[in-house]
Amino acid sequence: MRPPKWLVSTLLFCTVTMVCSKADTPTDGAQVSAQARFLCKWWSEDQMNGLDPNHPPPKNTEIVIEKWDYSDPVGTPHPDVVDLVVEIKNESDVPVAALSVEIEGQWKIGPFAKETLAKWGTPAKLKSTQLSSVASHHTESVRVPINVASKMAELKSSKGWPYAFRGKVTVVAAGSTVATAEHELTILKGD
Amino acid sequence: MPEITGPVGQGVPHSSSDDVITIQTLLKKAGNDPGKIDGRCGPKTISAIVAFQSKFLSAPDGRVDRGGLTWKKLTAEALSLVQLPQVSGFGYYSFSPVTRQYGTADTIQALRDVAASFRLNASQQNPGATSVSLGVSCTDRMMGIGDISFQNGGPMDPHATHQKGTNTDIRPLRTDKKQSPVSITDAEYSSEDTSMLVKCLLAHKNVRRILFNDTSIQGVTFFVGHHNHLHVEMRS
Repeated sequence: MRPPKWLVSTLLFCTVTMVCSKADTPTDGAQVSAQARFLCKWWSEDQMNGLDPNHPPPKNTEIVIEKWDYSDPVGTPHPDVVDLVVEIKNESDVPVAALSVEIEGQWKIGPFAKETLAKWGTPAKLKSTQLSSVASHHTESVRVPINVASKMAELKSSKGWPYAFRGKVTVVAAGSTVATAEHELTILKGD
Repeated sequence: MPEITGPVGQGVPHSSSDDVITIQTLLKKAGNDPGKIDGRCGPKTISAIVAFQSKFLSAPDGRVDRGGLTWKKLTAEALSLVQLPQVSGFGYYSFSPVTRQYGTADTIQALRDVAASFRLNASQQNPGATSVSLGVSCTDRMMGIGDISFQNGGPMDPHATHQKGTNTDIRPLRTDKKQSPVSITDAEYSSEDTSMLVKCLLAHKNVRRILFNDTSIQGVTFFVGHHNHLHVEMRS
């Protein structure tokens, strides 16, 4: 059975459009992916066992943090500063050049006493950087410190609380967005 | 935490009798006798306010304003929180800094009573684990005590409560006996030992309520976020 004419036309149009987009990128055939996550320094499992809270050892183990949580002062990470780490990977077999990386951050803020009133604020530019070249199947990372403690201190006088932080990355090549990623850090207040 | 709705004392034409009673009660607890606690702000009450203020003000004005310095000092002194003794071998260990371990005398006593009771129960259940240290019999199962309150009470970020020395965070028990954090979803979590701890807590007359999310344990109340600690509310 032959496919209908409209389907053939549509497929042809899509193919042409994709070829044109590729031709606009600086390195033909390159594919770029982006990932964002949060890392921080915290105590290791061994350090936590019998830890003296009045004379704590240095936090020197880097961990991935999904939520800022004070529910156990030792066991659940709640650092003053977390790092938003953005990884840009060249997934293709050829090098990719001239990538522009734009990183934005956004806080979700509300009254300490009523989380349901929390709202996302306006995104703010945190960092803008250029990657001159990323080798084939290599990853470049960009790190931005996010000071959670100072945000809490800033909101304290108005009895507010930062309920979450969202990091967002946009990777641009030759004026076109080639990859985006975002990640959220939940910030839990205690009871 | 006591509250007042408006100012009390010198130059205040009308104060509610409830507010005056609150101030008179706090003054008495702080050691400044306001005379009869009758809800009337007379010369004795004002003198007691002045006497109290002279401890920290060069020019006492005999007046207590809601949220003001005199109010803060008065409530802090009246709370008279005491520090959890930082000792080992008595059935508990601390996992919060000492500055965050102040409670009412009743709360601290209750924690010590429960720790002793828990130690006794644990040693009876597993006599082989008993050891003697510095002449004190103890087991390797210890109750981990975290945040209670600050010395003068008041907000303890990031907690909503823990303001007046009657709320305490306690760790669940682990099967490996480590003094480490544990969540009810971890393999190392001991429901059996934690259940014994809960029984000891609930047997104490000063324990009002325990928020904890292992609902297989009788007597605890489920509350979001309480998978890795027992939030224990005391009566006084």
